[in-house]
Amino acid sequence: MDFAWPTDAQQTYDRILAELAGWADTPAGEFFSRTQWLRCGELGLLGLSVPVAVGGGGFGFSAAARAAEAFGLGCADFGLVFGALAHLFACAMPIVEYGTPSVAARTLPRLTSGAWIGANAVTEDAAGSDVSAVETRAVRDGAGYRITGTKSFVTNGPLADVFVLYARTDPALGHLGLSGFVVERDTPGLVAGPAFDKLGLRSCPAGTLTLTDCWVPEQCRLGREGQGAAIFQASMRWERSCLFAAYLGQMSRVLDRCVRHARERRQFGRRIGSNQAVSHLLAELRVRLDAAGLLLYRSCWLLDQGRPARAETAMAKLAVSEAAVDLSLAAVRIFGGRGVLVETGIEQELRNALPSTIFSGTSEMQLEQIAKEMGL
Amino acid sequence: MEDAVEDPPTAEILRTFIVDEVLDGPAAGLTMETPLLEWGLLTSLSTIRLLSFIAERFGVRVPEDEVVGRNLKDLNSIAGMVNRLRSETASDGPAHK
Repeated sequence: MDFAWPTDAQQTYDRILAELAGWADTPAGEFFSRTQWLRCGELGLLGLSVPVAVGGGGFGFSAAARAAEAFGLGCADFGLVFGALAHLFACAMPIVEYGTPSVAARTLPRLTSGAWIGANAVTEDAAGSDVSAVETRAVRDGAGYRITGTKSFVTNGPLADVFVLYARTDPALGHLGLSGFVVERDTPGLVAGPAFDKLGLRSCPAGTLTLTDCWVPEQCRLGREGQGAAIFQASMRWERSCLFAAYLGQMSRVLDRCVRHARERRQFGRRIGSNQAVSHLLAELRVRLDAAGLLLYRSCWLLDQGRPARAETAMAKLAVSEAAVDLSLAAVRIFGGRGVLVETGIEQELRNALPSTIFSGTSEMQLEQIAKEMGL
Repeated sequence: MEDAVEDPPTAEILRTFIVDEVLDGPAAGLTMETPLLEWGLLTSLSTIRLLSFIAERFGVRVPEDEVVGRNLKDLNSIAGMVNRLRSETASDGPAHK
């Protein structure tokens, strides 16, 4: 067992951190800009795991996760981090793994460079954790399909240029009646709704996507008809491992701030970090962070070996997201009154951590997956 | 030396698995034509368990491109797919994991 990072992965990590040091956060109340997005593309963050031949970094799970960890560590604008990684893992990667050559050639160079913003549209008002409840229909029509339905919580949706979306091609086949499609924004009948007002990840817009008799050619279907659920699950293995590595970076950043604060802040004539109530809490959080990191990189290692790692990936996602919430909540308490001031920048870490227990499958769904894999 | 015990038919083994592990309850009304996918009995999670069971019990791995509605829509279809894959595996040589 070797815990050392390969030289190239570490160099990428260091390079990303160095570049991010000069970045300004998205101004409050605004969404990330095209300029910021292009910088992400220049830094390689939008194509980490995309093949080199179409402009990506060609990284496997472990190297991509390590780079995502640097992104989360170096960039406190976590809405941008989330938007960029969701674009990569839930839009670009399904095209890499299941797209037709012509669609891949048209979309991937634009997605990796940052010329385009990508989005994933699977959730519907009545289909959250239960993907089999998707009602959006794709009906055969000539050399393509007509798609009708409404998606919700489409990350990047209000700004996106291209969508990977899932629709039901055969209602009689349950979860095996779903198919995936690549649909461009200017397709007649497609309307991206305005951005929701959200608690966290506020610089990343999310909204609805309405499709009315939207015709797409057959070549825009991902994989085979009925393979949509499998394609979606394949994208979730990227998200639940690599995207969540960004939260490891966020946690490291927040924990460092907590330790500095506990060493500097004095009450009753001594540093608050000299109180066991604080020092043991920070020590516990360090254990949670490291344990979550080990679970996540084990999952990446297994995925790099071509193993399904279903339980391990669910464990990693669960551990990282729950630790992120607990750690950032503890940070607010350690910072005391300053922890709830927006200007301190700690409360935003809590708001950005909270959605992590919901997107990419709720904590309850991860526990269900783990239990099923245990034979329960 | 004991007499060799003949395996029950593939469909019966699969039906027992579905009843015990997927329905987790009475099998009343479950037929070989019950639409497992349409009725939501076979979900994405239970499909993964079924595929693992098929690999373990029958020694055949169901390729990704066989995991489609026509092969999994009911017990008849699943048994047909398993028997076909078993015969293909047998003609190819030893089963592989």
